[in-house]
Amino acid sequence: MILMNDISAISIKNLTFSYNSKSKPVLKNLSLEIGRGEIVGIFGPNGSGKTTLINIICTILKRYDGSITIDGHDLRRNADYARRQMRVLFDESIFDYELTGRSQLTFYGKMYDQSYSYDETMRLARMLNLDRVLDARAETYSKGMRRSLELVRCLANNPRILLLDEPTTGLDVFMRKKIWLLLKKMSRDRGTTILLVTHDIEEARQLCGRVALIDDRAIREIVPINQLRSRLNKRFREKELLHDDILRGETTR
Amino acid sequence: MISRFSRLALIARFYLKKQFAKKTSYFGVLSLPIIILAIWLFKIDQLLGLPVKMNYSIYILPGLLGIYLMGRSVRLGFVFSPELNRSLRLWLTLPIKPSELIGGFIIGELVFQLITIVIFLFMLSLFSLTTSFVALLGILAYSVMIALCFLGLSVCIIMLFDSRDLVQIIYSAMLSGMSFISPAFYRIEESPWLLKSLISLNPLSYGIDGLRLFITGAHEMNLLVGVLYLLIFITCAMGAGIYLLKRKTFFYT
Repeated sequence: MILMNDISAISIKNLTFSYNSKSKPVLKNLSLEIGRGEIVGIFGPNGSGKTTLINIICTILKRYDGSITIDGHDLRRNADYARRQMRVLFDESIFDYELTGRSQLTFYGKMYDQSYSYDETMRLARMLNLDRVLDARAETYSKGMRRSLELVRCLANNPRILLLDEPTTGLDVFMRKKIWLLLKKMSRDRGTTILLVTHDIEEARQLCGRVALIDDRAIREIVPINQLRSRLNKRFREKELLHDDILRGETTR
Repeated sequence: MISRFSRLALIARFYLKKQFAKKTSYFGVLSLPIIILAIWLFKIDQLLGLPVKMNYSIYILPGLLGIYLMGRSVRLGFVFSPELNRSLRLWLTLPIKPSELIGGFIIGELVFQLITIVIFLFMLSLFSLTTSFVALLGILAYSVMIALCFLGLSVCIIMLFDSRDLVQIIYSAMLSGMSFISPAFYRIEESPWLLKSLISLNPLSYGIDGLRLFITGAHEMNLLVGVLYLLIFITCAMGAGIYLLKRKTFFYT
């Protein structure tokens, strides 16, 4: 008998994806296991396939090779199960600017309906200082407020899995710390599994236990968080600066 | 999980909220009544110098309603354009089936169109046209059939072509072409044989002919063939739309 605790929350095996049959794969033979309640960071240069990976897991991109399972359920066969468990925070705002924050939070909350609670959504909105603007159209929000609104949508009502693409971009330092505390609490108390795409070493240090370094279409290594800075420095020296005549002198200083 | 019916109602309500959040939508509702008011005010029959017994104003009323419904309905396709609808990315990750997504938007759009149809029915009294309860039901049934034909067709077109500009050209060509190849502005009997055969292929022709029967009491085409043709067209267009949405890969990089 297989116990649910033995199954990874997200399991990716030999994932290969290209946007069309003629182009070079964006991801090649990528494998990653994420346990329940774990926070794993994805680090990598621009264009390395991080957002594509998020889009595949959240079922927008469908034609891939390899296998992905969510709580042991195959993503291809049971996409509906995966969608119910996951909330996705995309790298850019996806809310309708014409509508109010409140109407959008209520709509998306009800669409998931795992245990939709209006009060909890509003409590989170208050925590992220959105309570006074919820009845205004989203077009009047600042960039940071839009990000906070997206975060409320994702974090409300106990999601089991969170896919976060640069969650605190555009937020001030106090809000960032608040979000980090909230994510850590969700992971610790509710067992929420978080896959975090970030470019921010501080964010990864605050949240992640492990970080997967993506480069050249595949995960190069998975490092414990305390080794992230040294590994990144090493890779940066090896891969980037040594090929750049202008910056080469800077590395030797 | 909330029931399928509740999900459809939620999506339809959200779509309507979104529509009425835009000021241009009010013009969308009122455009047809404004045209009809202009026809009544300027007495188009006298402008054309036609004998009174021909009453061209009344003849073109069903055609105008049919063309309005077609024009509104093809706009639905743009909801499924990633370039024009930023929330599409999020909707694709919601735990709902493609049929529910399309169905919810269609219900919302039909409710939107119903507002104009009701105004249209009131405006018939300007032309001393009275409608019985049966005629009212007939007008509603044909209106829904015209709308469904082009709602389905617009979804298919947007799924087949990725470029927004190309889709806009196709929609414009379709609107003007189908309006011309229909009995909206002239009698089928008096048109040349090639036009006659093209008219018989156009679903809008059968819709306008049915509307004309219930508004003016006269019609030119076989009603049974018309209803069957419309129902088959709706089934094929909707089925193809849902199938294409299931298969479609939306690229977000």
